[in-house]
Amino acid sequence: MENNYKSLRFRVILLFSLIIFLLTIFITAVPLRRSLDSLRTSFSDLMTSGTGQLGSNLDENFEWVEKTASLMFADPIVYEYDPMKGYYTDYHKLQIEKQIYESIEQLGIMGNYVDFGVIYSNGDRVGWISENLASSYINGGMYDDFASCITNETDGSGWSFGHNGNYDKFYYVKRVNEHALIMISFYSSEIDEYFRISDKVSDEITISLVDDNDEVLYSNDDLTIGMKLDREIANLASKDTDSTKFDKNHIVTTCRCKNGWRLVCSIPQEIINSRTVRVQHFTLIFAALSCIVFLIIANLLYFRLSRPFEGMMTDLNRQANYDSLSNVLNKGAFEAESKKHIERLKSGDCIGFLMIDMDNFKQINDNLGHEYGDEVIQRLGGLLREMSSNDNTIGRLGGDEFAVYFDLSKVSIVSAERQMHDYVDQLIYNFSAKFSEEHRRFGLSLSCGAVVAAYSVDYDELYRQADDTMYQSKRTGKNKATYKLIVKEND
Amino acid sequence: MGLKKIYIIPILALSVLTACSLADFKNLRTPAELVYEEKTAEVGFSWWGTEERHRDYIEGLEKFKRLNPDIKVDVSYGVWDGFEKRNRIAMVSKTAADVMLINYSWLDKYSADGEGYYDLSTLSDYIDLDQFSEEDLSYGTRNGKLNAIPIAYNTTLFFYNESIYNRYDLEIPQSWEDLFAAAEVMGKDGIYPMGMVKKQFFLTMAAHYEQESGQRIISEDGKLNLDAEGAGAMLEFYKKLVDARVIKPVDSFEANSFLNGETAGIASWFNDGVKYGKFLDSKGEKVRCGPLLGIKRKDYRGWYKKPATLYAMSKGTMHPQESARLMEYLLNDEDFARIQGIEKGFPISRKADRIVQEYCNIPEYSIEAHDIIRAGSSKLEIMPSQMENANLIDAFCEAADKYVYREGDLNTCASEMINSFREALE
Repeated sequence: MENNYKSLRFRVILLFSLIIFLLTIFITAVPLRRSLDSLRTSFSDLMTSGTGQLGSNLDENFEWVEKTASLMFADPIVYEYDPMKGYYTDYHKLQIEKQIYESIEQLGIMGNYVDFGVIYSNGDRVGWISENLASSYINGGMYDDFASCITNETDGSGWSFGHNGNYDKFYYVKRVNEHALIMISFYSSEIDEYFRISDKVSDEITISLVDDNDEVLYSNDDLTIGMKLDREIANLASKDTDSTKFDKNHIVTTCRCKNGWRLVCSIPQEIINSRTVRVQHFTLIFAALSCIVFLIIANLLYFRLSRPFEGMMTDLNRQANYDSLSNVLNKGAFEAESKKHIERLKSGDCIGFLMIDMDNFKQINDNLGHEYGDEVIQRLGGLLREMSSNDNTIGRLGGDEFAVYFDLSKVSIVSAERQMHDYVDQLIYNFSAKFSEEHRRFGLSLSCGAVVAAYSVDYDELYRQADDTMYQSKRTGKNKATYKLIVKEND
Repeated sequence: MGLKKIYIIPILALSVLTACSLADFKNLRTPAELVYEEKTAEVGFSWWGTEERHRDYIEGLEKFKRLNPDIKVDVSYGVWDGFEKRNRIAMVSKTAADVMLINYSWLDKYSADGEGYYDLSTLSDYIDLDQFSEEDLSYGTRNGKLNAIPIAYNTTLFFYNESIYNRYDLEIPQSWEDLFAAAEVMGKDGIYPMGMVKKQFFLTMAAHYEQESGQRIISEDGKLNLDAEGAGAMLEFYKKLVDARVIKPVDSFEANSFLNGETAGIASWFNDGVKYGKFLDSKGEKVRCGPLLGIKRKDYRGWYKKPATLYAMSKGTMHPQESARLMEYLLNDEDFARIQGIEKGFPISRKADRIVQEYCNIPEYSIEAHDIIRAGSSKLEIMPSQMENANLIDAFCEAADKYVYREGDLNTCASEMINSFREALE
């Protein structure tokens, strides 16, 4: 009954712990998942707004250049002068070119331009055309190259990049007349500051300015400038609208500039995930600690609350299994305990069974009263308990009859017999000493029947054999012990 | 008692966990500041120059910003043409950059009394002035105030495409006569032995005039020392050069003519000559730097040296110490010395010069040019700042064009030139 109770208690604790554990995982995982989604959305919003702002800044830069070029038309000589028309003298041409030069000087004076000039189809140039650019077209072709960069036929203008390997400059070209183009260039590092803003949010955000062919014109990742945009990111980048798209690897925001170039802002999903790792770790550790603390408290409370029941269970258990007078097992419990042990025995294991019955006990009852008789039984129970060890089980089978079951499985049959003899001799001796007065006056003594069995035998057989042997002692004079060895016939 | 202790442990643990969680919420409720950028000092830096110079500075400043995250450098740059006006606007409107690359002539123009620029001697804790001799620093000192620190010395130099000269079995010119002789030989194939852009054109014509006349155009006290007759002589020499096909008319010449072999020589500053040399080197042509031209060989009369460029600091800078750190980087830093190399000439800073000599690839014609500057250091006088006056140079070129293209006779053009000169120098 106590074991059943312990087993039940173990199961309750296990089930309770499991429920708490699962509940902890649930209440931890759901917010974590939600927080990851929320972080992803926040990043996306941030990138959309940041890219939009960056696009506006870039547009301002590009528009400044476009307006500067348009202001060149304020002086009619700029668009009226065509050196291909043959009616200019050399000196006249010089004077006109000086005038155009002055316009350029006036308009470009505060800008960080690398090139700002007018180029003509006959190879002439006016203004600040850098020697580097000029020397890269030493065999001609500058006019045709830049004329081919006009993408907006309406106003005859266009933006380009990478002329003759110059990947660090942006070029703006605008048609002046049939044989002349205004050309302005500036270093892409002029817009670098805008691109570095993202580093303050996350150095993993890549912002690239790309053209329609997905060629990277500028980027905060210097190594990609002049190369094609990563194919995976290019696929997510919208060609014609401002948008934000996701796939399993990236979040990509696209913003279209007014000159047709696009800003593509991308961040690997794993970076966003990694942002939550610390939160996840903290939350999981926090939840695990909370779970452990909760379980400890719950179990302590459980043990505390269940202790009165446990005592009650122990009392009930004792009342059910123990004889209240002798304080040894009652007949039923003795029988159940012995049977359980016999079932566990292996072939050849020895067991001992001792039946004890007091001689002339009735004289005690008749002369000294039942209370004294009960005291004698109590004292005999005490004697047997004093002599008990881990290898034997003591029971009161009824009246003045006791039995002792011996586990002799670890010893040989010879030793088993000797142990039984020693025990019985000691018992009779101790009994004689303890009850010498009762023996003198009323002849109180013990008759014992000891059986040693060395093969499988059931409890009933063992009991019957020991009982017979004990009565044999009574029949043959009392105050003695009779022994019986039960072995297989061929042993 | 033991049991009570057992209870205390989980209660304490629970209290700690609760405190942790509450601490987190407290942070959320308290107004928080997210600092994305450390406080930085914004230092402006302006320069003019060619693409080589722009690229050197952009690369160098990237490095400087990485080394000095507390300083943000705002740049302002352009080509030389027009930059003088840009600088003038900035100076008079008091919006000049904190650190400026300045021309030697600007010192007298904006700080004759030493009050136009910051006194850099007060920032010697930040700028290692020991790398410069007293004489070097004296060029940047006005009225006892160290207004600017020179970067390199320069003078007009003559670079030649020796491959072309060799083809005609000609020596590198040593005098004006050698140039005329070369023109006679090369002219048959339409090749000019020399070419020059506006400023070098003026300085060369002035040098020839001073050699011929023995008189300075600008006197030592900065006054114009030229009359109409002298102006006429300058214009006549120019026409003689054009007529003999020694040079192209100045406005129709551009450096590409030297690079594509139309002209076999060019008068330029050190840095431009080195740039052209690199280009021709890459085409397999051999470049030499010849001596300063004179009536006779090794005639230094009429030629002037000057600090090529100088670094100055705005008088009204809000960040003198940070600006000084930037200036120290530009003048004496090992990394920047390597980036810059001899783009502006051989550095005056001893430390930077040592780095350049040790680590930079220096072509032979650069060494020849450097030797001319060094040899001339005792023979060449310091260029009067008026010689670089843009209005003066424009006036000369305008008169020269008019005369060469026969839009006016010699006397008219010379008179107009003198009048314009007087206006420019008023």
